[in-house]
Amino acid sequence: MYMAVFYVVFGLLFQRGGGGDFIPFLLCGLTAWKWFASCVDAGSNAIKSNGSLMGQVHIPKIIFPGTVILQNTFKFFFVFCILLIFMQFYRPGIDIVYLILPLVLIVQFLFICAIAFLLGAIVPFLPDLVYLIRNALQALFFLSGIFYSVADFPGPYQKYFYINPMVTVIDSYRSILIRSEAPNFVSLIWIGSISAITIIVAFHIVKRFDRVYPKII
Amino acid sequence: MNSGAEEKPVLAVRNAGVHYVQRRVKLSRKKFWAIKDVSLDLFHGETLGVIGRNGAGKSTLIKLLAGIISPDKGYVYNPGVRVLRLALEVGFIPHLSGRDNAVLSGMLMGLTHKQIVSRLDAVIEFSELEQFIDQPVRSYSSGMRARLGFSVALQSDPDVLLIDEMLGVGDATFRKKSADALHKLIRSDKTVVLVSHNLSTLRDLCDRMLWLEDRVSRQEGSVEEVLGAYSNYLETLSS
Repeated sequence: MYMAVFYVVFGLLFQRGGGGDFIPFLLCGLTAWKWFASCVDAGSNAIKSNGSLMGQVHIPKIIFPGTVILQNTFKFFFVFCILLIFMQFYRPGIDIVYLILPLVLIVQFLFICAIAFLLGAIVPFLPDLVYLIRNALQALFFLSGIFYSVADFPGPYQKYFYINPMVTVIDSYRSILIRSEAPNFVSLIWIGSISAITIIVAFHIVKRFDRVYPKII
Repeated sequence: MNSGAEEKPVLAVRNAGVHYVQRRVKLSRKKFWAIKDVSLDLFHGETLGVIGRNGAGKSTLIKLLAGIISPDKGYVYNPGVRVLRLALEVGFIPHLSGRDNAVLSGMLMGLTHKQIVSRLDAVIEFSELEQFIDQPVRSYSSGMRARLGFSVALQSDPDVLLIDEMLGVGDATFRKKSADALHKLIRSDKTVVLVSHNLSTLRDLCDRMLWLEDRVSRQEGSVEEVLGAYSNYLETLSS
């Protein structure tokens, strides 16, 4: 549904993208984005929304964002499988660069966990942040190059777009699935490592406030 | 009863205080001490009654003992016993079946998956929900939900059980059945902290008593002693 609307608006009405390439181009972007957005949206609110349960029993609080991330990741895997099957119609055969896909998936997973855990740890202290996060996700959706290619922009602006890790992640899926090229490893490894550090920091924050969250929610 | 004096307590609280932050207008914040200075010792196998007027800090003390919150001053000494606050319908998810919710709830209360599955028959039997156990909890009446919740809680089997004024749920028959089961559990060798306003229940079930007044522990001692002092105090207040 969602994807159909985008196809009609951008593919047909705006005559964007290079003809037949636009559908796989759009699907790669939307699939990856949906995974990110659903996890971050639910994960950031997870500790806060389980306030009543926390008041009844003691549970390590990291479980709450953890479960919603796993739920949404599970859903994503089905969608991703459908995407791979679709790509078989579009470009039959499996290329050797497909072997890099797991790396991209892991990097995106780390990035999702980093953002969701960190926001989940902070939101109980600043409940209104939830609205800001919703709006930020909306803005990022338009800035992540989902229905346009960041590479089309003039050089000086391009580098600012790449500050957003989702641009690199979505680019990587496209280069593997559509162009059969290896993605930019350096950027991916950078995103992966910074995310891993952020996850550790977020774990410590959640642990530190483990017995404070029930008091403030 | 008083033999605990030389024994090592299973759970001890020393001069504990807990404060909540009250958010006022704009950025000014005020600390509210829900407990100011509470101490207690809990010995293995005993039932400690906690009494006090509304707002004396009883529920906060229970949360503190359960390890849900930590003290802001003083400390809680727990050598590694599993303390659980008796709570109903912990983590129930409406669209899951009664059976799944019982397993989930049991695990949240600290049982392993294996333990709760092996006790599932006892849970179902006690709750009298045999016909409905595979229906989603969404379709249950509130009484049925409470019955299932109580039956799971009864099987949770912690080292120390904390009961915050809740002795029986559901309709009259089940209320009696659940209260009886709980009384039996309290009278057994289990270590229990019981919060109640019902003086006769406390007299009936407790080995020792703690009296909280204005968020401070005022008296800890034998049941007769503390209840007597508490009743006298209430009379002086009303006169």
